[in-house]
This record gives sequence, structure tokens and C-alpha cells, in this order.
Amino acid sequence: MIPETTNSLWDPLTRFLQRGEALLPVLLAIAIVLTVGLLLAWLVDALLRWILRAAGFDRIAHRPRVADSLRRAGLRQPPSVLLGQLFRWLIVIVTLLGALSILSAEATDVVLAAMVAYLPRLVAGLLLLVTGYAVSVFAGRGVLIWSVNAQIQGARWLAGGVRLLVGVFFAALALENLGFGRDIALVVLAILLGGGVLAAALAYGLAGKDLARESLDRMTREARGEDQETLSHL
Amino acid sequence: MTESTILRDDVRRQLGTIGTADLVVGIPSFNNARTIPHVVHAVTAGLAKYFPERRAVLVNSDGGSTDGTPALVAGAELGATRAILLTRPPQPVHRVVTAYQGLPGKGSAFRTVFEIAHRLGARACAVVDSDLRSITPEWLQLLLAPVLDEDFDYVCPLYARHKFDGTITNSVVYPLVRSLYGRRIRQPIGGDFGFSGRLATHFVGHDVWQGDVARYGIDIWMTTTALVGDFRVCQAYLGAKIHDAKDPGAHLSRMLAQVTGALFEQLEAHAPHWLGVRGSEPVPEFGFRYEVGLEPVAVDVGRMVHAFDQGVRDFAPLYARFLDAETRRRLAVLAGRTPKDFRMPEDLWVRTVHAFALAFHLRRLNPDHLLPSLTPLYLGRTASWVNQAADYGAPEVETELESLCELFETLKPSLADAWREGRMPS
Repeated sequence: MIPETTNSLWDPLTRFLQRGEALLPVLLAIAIVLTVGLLLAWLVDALLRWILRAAGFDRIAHRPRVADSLRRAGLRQPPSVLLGQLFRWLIVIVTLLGALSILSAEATDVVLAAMVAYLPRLVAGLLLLVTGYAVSVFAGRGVLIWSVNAQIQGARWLAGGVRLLVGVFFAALALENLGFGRDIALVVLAILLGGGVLAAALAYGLAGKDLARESLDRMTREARGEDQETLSHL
Repeated sequence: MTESTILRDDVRRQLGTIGTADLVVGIPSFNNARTIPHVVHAVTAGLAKYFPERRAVLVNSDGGSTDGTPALVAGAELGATRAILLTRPPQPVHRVVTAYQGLPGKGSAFRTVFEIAHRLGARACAVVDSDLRSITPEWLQLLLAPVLDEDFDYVCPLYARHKFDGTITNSVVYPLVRSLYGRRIRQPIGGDFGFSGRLATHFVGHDVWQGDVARYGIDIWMTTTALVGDFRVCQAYLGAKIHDAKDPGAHLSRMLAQVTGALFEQLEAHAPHWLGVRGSEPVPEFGFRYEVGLEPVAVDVGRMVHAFDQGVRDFAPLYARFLDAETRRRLAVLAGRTPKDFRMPEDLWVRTVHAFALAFHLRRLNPDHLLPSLTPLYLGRTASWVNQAADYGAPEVETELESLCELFETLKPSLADAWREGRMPS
């Protein structure tokens, strides 16, 4: 009884030790690849920064259009640092893939295939987000300028609302393109649109009486030729 | 030089029949049935009285009027000879009545006139607005004679105007053109001009008809193009300019954007010329100056100041992109004033205009957003001027305007330095 129990305990332990013994060189190789890869990433980052800085690359950030684009994108670091970081992260990703391939070539192939298959969607999603941001800023600014020049009160709220709606619309498109959160995005968009329309209807409904009176007063005065500016600007 | 194809087939055939002309007078129009008969009569009377032996063509370039404007021009009785006491029969005036092609706007209408003048080999041309109520036959002599008799290429108008009228001209265009191009042309965008056939041909050769130049920007484009070219420029005193009231407050923002946009685009194109200009000099003047009674002008200063306040508050994030902190601070301080006490310091206005010109040059903001965002500040400047000039007579108005122009000239070097270095003024 005792030898049988001992064997039943010993055998799995032996198999574990044997597997561990076989896995040890693989783990060691992964550790070496990761260490070298991360060191290389750090080295390339530092070297690139130094070279670019020495070459005066950061001066392009002083150009108005570049500075404006960087500021709008929320990037406050010099271009040399940004480029160095970009290369560092690229090397880190390649290193991680290399380490994964040591562990299992099949797993790496699967991950790579999935990444490659998802890449177009990811790129399209990102493009939609960037486009959405640009369109929402442009539309919001256009509405702001129009409404301020028309002397509409609450112009900033109006512009902010337009910007939010356009932004959410593009975010919903991007999420749908990426294949997740589709329903949530559509619901959010519907709530925002519906809420916006309801809020506008309520606002106009409540304030419309006064607004209509003001408009009619103004129209009457204009029809009578009262209060009408006759200034010729040109 | 590009050969224009803007003329319709029937117009080209008509020009073939006419052959050549000494004088071409263009009248752009759009729904001006109320005023255009008077303008046509004044033009034909002027041609008959002062140029009876010249072959003249009157061109009506219409933007698709629905009130019968072209028909009125085509059917107008020409040559009111009895009224102007002619001693000999004048040459008949040919009429070309056509709908212009291209973008809707005065610039496209003028383009048709330029091409007709070019094709007819005209020696002298004039363009006059179709909504004028104060045009007289003498205007034709004043606009055409300097070209025919004195070899000038471009005749700008000089008007007697109400002190509150023409504020875009007085606050932006005249001071900028004077300080940058170095010539004291008082009405660079007056609307009524005389020009030589040589200059008409020069105008036709430009390909600028897809933007603001095709609309309200045509006047400033013509003036600056003449100034930087090898053309002799003068101005002629025409008296009062009274034109049909057509809801003057409407589309101010668009009008201001088109004029400033066209002017700023010209600054881009002419930078090598104006960067080297220092000071300014007067241009030769024709015509007999006299005092005229002017119609009163109604202005709502409270509305303008309110627009200024709202603009300074709501456009703050936009202004932060191209106006320096000190300018924004001073504008914010002004935004709290009551309409009665509202005064915008002249140097603040000059710095603001320069900042907009530089922001346009450096593309700090999309031009479609940048230019209309000047409207509230312009209204602030106008309100300030109305308050300041409330008790001014004509001499004081010109003195103050002279002082503003001198300030534009004084501050020009900082604009030029920033322009050369590609930065906003510090």
C-alpha cells in the first residue's frame, strides 16, 4: 500500500521535474532575449535622441505648423524624444514576439496571424477616430463662429454640443469597425441625439415665447424702418 | 498669360460685329432694377458729353437678376442729349448685356468686362456700381480722362462720405494698403474705377477667379495688382457716393472675410514688394473738391459693443492661437465697458489687424475660421470710432484717420520682421 502511494506521488513529481528541466533552457533563452531586447531598445532610444538632438532635429518643432500639430495632438515632448520612444516600443514589441516564438512557434504564428488580420481594422478605426476628431473640431469651430457673429447667446454650448455629437458619431463608427461595443456605441449616440433634440425642444419651448416676441418686435421695427442701421461698411 | 473663355458665344459674336472700341464701361448688376436705369443714363450722357467722338461700349454683366435688370439696360433710352446740351451728335453707344459665368459675385462680373475690353482693344475703361443714386455724367470724365489724356493706368475714386460710412475701408483697407504698398489711395475698394486697356489685358491674364477675388475681393485685388505692376495710379474726386440701401448689416461677416481674405492673399503674393516699402506718398489727384450734404447714418453702438463682448469671451480659445497675451488682456479689459464709454486704443486695433494678417500668412487657423473671427473686433473698433467721432467734422475725421495710418506705418517694421521670420509678433 505504502509503495503504491509513494509511486503515485513520485511519478507526477518526477514528470514535473523532467518538464522543468526541459523548460529551463527555454526560460533562460527567453530571459536572455528579453534582457538583450530591452537593453537594445533603451540603447537605440538614447542613441537616436542624442543623434537627432545633435543634428538639430528638434528645431522643426519650432515651426508654427509643426508646433501647432504637436500641441493639438497633446504631444509636449521634443520630436527627438518622440521618435526615440517610437523606436524603443517597436523594438520592445519585436522582442516580445521573439520571446514568444521561443516558447512556442505555433503560438507566435497564431498571435502574428491574428495581429495581421486585425491590423486593417485597427488602422481604419484609428483613421476614423483621427478624422472624427478633426471633423468635430472643424464643425464645432464653424458653429461657434457663425453663432457668435449672429450674436446668438450660448454660442459656446451650441458649438460644444455639435462637437460632442460629431465626436461620438465617429467614435461609434470606429468601435463598430473594431467589432466591439457596437450596441453600446449606438445606444450612446441615440441617447445623445435624442437627449439633445429633447433638450433643444424643451429649451425652445420654454424660452420660445420670449424669443418669438423679440423676433416679432425686431421684424416690426425693421419693417417700419426703426432701429435699422444704415451704415455702409465697404 | 492665360486666354479666358468666360464669354458666351452670343457675346463673342456681338463683339465680332462691333469690332473695336475706344471706351468700355462696365456695370455689374444683380437685381438692381430700381437704380440701374439712372446709372445707364448717367453713363451714356457722360460718354456723349465728354467723349462724343469715341467709340464706346456699355457692358452690363449680370449675375442672374430676377427683377428684369438686364431688360431695363437693354431697353434703356440712351443718350439724353437734350439734358446735357450737346452741340453735335455723339457716336452711338453699343450695348452688351450678358449674364456672366463663374462664381456668383462682383469679381466674376468684372472679369467679363475685362475680357470684353481686352477683345475690343479698348484704350480706357471704367466700372461703376449699379446701385448708385449719386452718379453723374461727370464721373465718366473723371474716371476715363486721366487714362485717355494723362496716360494713367488706374483711377481710384475719391468720395465725400459720411464719417461713419466705409468703416472697413477706413479701419482696415486704406491704412493697410497705404502702410504696406506706400501709396495713399484713399478708397482702394471704392467700387468705381477707371483703368487703361493695357491694365484690363493684364487683369485678364491672371487666374484668380475661384476665390474671394471673384466676389467682394475684386476691388482690392485690382488696386494692389495695379500698385505692384508697372502702372501709373491716380485718384479722382467724384463727390458723394450714395447708393441704394440694401440691408447693409446683412452678411457683414462674409463681406469682411472676403475683403480681408483677398487683401491678405495679396500680401502673400506681393510680400517681396511691400516688405521693402517704407513710409507712404500721395498719388496724383483729379477733380474739383467740394462740400456735399450727406444722408444721416443710423448706428447701433450698443449692438456693436455687445457683439464685441461676446466675441472676446466666446472666441478666447481661438484668439489664444494667434493673439499675444497682452493683446488678449487688453481686449478682455475693453469687453467690460459700457457702450457709452467704449473706446478701443488705436495701437490695439493696429496690432490686432497685423496679428490677423500674420495668422493668415502662418496658417495659425483655417482661413474660413480666422477671417470671420475678426468681425466682433471690427465691430468694437467701429463702435469706438462712432463714439470718438460723434462731434467731428470732415477735417477732424481726416486728421484722425491720418493719425491711424501713421500708426500703421510706425508699427509696420514689427509686422515685416515677424513676417520674414515666420513668427507671430512678440
